[in-house]
Amino acid sequence: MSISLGPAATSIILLLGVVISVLGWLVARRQIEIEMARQTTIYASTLAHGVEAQIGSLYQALHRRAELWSDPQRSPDFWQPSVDLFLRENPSLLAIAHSDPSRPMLGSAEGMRALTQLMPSIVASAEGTEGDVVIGPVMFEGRPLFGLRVKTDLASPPARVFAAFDPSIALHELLDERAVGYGIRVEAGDRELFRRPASGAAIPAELAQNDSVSLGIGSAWTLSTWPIATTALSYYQQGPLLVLVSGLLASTLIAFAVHYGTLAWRRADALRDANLELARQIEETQRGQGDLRSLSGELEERVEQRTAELHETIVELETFNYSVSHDLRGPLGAVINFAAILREDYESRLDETARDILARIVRSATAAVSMMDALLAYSRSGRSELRKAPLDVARLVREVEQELVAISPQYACAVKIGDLPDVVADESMLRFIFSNLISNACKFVRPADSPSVEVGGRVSGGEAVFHVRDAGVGFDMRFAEKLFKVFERLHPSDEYPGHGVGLAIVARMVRRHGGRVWAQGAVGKGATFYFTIPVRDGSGDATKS
Amino acid sequence: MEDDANDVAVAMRALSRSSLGDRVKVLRDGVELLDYLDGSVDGIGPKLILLDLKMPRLDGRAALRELRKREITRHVPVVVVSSSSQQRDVHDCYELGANSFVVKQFNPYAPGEYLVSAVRYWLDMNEVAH
Repeated sequence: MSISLGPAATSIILLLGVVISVLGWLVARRQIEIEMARQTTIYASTLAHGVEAQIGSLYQALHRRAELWSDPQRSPDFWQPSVDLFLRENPSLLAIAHSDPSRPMLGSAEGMRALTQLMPSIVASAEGTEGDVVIGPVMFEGRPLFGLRVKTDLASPPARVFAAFDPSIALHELLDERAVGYGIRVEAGDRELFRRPASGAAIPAELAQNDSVSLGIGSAWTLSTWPIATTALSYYQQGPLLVLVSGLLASTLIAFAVHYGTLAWRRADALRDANLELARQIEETQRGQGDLRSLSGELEERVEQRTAELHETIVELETFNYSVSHDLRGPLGAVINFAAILREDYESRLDETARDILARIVRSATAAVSMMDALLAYSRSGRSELRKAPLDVARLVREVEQELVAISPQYACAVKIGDLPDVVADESMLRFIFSNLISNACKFVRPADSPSVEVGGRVSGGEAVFHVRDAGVGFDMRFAEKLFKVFERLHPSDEYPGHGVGLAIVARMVRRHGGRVWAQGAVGKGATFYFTIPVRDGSGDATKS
Repeated sequence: MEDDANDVAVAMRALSRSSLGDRVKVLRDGVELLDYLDGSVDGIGPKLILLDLKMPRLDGRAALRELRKREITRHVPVVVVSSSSQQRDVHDCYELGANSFVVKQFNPYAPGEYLVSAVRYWLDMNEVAH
């Protein structure tokens, strides 16, 4: 007997895993982007506040000194050393002058040139104004400078102090060390006062965040920050990649486990079939050829030995399958739970796309869990104890029909019950077999028809042959073998829900009773499912399970 | 009692949303349970125990045996919450004195709500022997 690998289940699981991983990766990336923009905004606002405070305090200090320098009580000798000290402490102030001609302009040679050049503009803007004046930025030898006039009321007439201010020196002092991982630019109007990194590379507009720096002296600057390549890279890659890689890894593992699990079951089933055949041959040999008794004995011994080996293998495989399915159910469940929690708790912060992606993750993971549950059910059907008892099959089928109506009315329909021979079998298994076959028959109706299902049976050749017949969509006889294999489906699951496990369980339960199962049908002409349960023959010899 | 941090997080979220969260003590295995019971000298034990079967060190079965042995928890309802639905596990738990056996559920529309239902029944509707 040839063994088909049935790669459909493996591919579906692998595909599901990949889809979940990629979707997870996208969601994680999207979250990171949002988070990065938030961090950058916070950073821009922090820096803007820092600049405001720094420039503000410099301005206040200048104000306080101007009062001292203009105090008529103080000796004029006080002017020079005090201004020199103040200029040394505040390198962004290039030069300082006083309205009193006895106090000479002080500062670096270059600074004094700058202030001399700024002076006419300051005086011109101060026309008709009593208070403080700020002008700028004015380009001086390629540098944007500001000119200040500060008024004091101590002297009479009121004295005034003038200063040339280079903002880039103050900004370098304040921002150089903070531009780690971020680019920073400060502009006054359309003039750039400061920029880090200094290279002329374009600023990534989609990542940059702006904040305004209010200086309270009639001038406002704009501060922009943006994460530079290395920062952006480390943000983008770590978390989302971890999600992607672990997701892909997990789905590959699941796919492998399922692939080898189903492969092994089919081998085991094939071996069992071969053994049954062997057992039948032995029986014939014993009955017809007494001379060959010794050979039979030998054969029987071999069958027993192989059956024992087979049994051991099956138990091992079942245990493996059970624990794999069981252990994967938890992590998959966590995916469902946390995706659902993300969707619920962060609803207001997710956009349409993110919500859609989450819904897909939930759907896919839920589908995977329900496949796991179907696999577990299949596994259990091979492991549970076989408890045989004499059964009134007609009564059992009537009960099954009523149960279907009560529990899943969407899969119940009118069932015509014919003659049904009594058998000795496991009641819960026989109940499952009829329930599955009848609900299938009701389920696979042609869309326009109301389903009609007929159940019947007879005794023939030492076995009870039961059948469940419908007039539904039917199937292509070429695929009849596939019907009873795990995860094989002949009809699309969105039209006819299910996992393709029910019939595999039916086949397994029938085989455990020593019976056979098969189906006949044609596309559009309905289907009939048959199964047999061995019955006691005239000599009272009970059929082995 | 649950060793899986994910399951604990989901359960605590659901219970907290029903204002049951602040009455919950999370223990990660049987050994922690014994320490907790030994520590509660004032004789006020738990009102309800949710018990996972698969735990490190002292597992669910051993914990159940221990709970039924001690005076303070002899009559406290124990709900086994397991990802297993194997008859053997179910049978063993009832044999060892569990009051209920619930299989872990994953409902994408109400994560963990099934635990809230279970807790509500055992705390609000069930009458306990003292």
